[in-house]
Amino acid sequence: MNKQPLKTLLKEKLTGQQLNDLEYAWLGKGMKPGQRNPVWIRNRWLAGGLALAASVLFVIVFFIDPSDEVISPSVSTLESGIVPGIVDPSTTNPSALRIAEEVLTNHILIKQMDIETGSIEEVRNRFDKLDFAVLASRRLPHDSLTLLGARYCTLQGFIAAQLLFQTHEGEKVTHYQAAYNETRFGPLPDISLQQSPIILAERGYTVEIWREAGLVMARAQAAL
Amino acid sequence: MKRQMPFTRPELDQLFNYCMVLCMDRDNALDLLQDGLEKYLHQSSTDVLLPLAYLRRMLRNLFIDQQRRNNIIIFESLDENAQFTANSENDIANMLVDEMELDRILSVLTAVEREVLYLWAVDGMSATEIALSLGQPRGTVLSRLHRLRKKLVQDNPASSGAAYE
Repeated sequence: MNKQPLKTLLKEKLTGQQLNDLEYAWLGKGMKPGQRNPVWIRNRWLAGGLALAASVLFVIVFFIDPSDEVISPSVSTLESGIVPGIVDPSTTNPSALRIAEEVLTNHILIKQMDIETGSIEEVRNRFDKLDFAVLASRRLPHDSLTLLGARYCTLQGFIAAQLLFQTHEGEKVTHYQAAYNETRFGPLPDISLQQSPIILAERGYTVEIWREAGLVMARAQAAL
Repeated sequence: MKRQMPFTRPELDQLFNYCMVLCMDRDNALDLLQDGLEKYLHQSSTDVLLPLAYLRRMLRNLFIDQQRRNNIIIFESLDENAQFTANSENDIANMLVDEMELDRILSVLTAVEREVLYLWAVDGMSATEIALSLGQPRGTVLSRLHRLRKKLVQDNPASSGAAYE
């Protein structure tokens, strides 16, 4: 690994945290004494619940029926901390929980789009404040989704794009992209390395988080 | 009457980073920042000369109170045998580390030691300025730097004395 002077690296490390939009809004609006932001309280419950779920899953997979190859995750998925299709891996990356919470809030309270368009190219060309190019993710079933528009947002304090899609059935799907930064987002599965996205479910919604082409991406939609 | 938030977003981020240095946990840092802001908005008049520094002092005191309430000792006695010198500061500045080593180092430091590192690396303070800021004798700060260096070298012998200039 690349060695740097202690002071330089420390400065980077100790100034790398930012409040997300929700946290900032909560602190800015003048909270009542002693009242905690429900978002970060819920994060603790969620983290605790997921840790418990992971422990139960571990027991089931490794002790109850070790010969069952169908449910035993492969070595590579275990190494990456990701068990396909199971709500868990954020226990190895707490920032995934925070990303999911932020994405979910953005999904539930869908704000006015900055542009209304059906073209990813147009989003890419017109969103010139981003420090990355908006891509058509390989993970999205573009044939069954119609792009309605896009807006600027943030993910963990980094500038991001929110794309709003609609399925043939009229279901809203939101998709998020931001430049990937390991310090900020933690280790996330890269689908170009055949790793499966992190899948979390909360409040009737499913959130998927993954890395693709140097971007962190997320998708939120109602759990069907 | 509810007072308006007197801090900008970058300032709140800066304060949040300071809380993270003390707590090493995002949720606890958010709680500490919220408690500090509440207290600041409730107590302080509008003509505080250095609001950021004032609030940071409040956050520090709140953190220490919380630790005491939880019976967590964060202040260690000084190492009587520590041979600290003014060079301790330069010795630390000359160390080379990578990110993994830094994470490991931070995980074994106490809150007080992390705070000294924060003031030194982020605020760019000298040992004298850190001492003034924390209201402690300069020798105490130098002793902390000396012990920090000892911990860093123990954890990462290859970095010892590696000058980068």
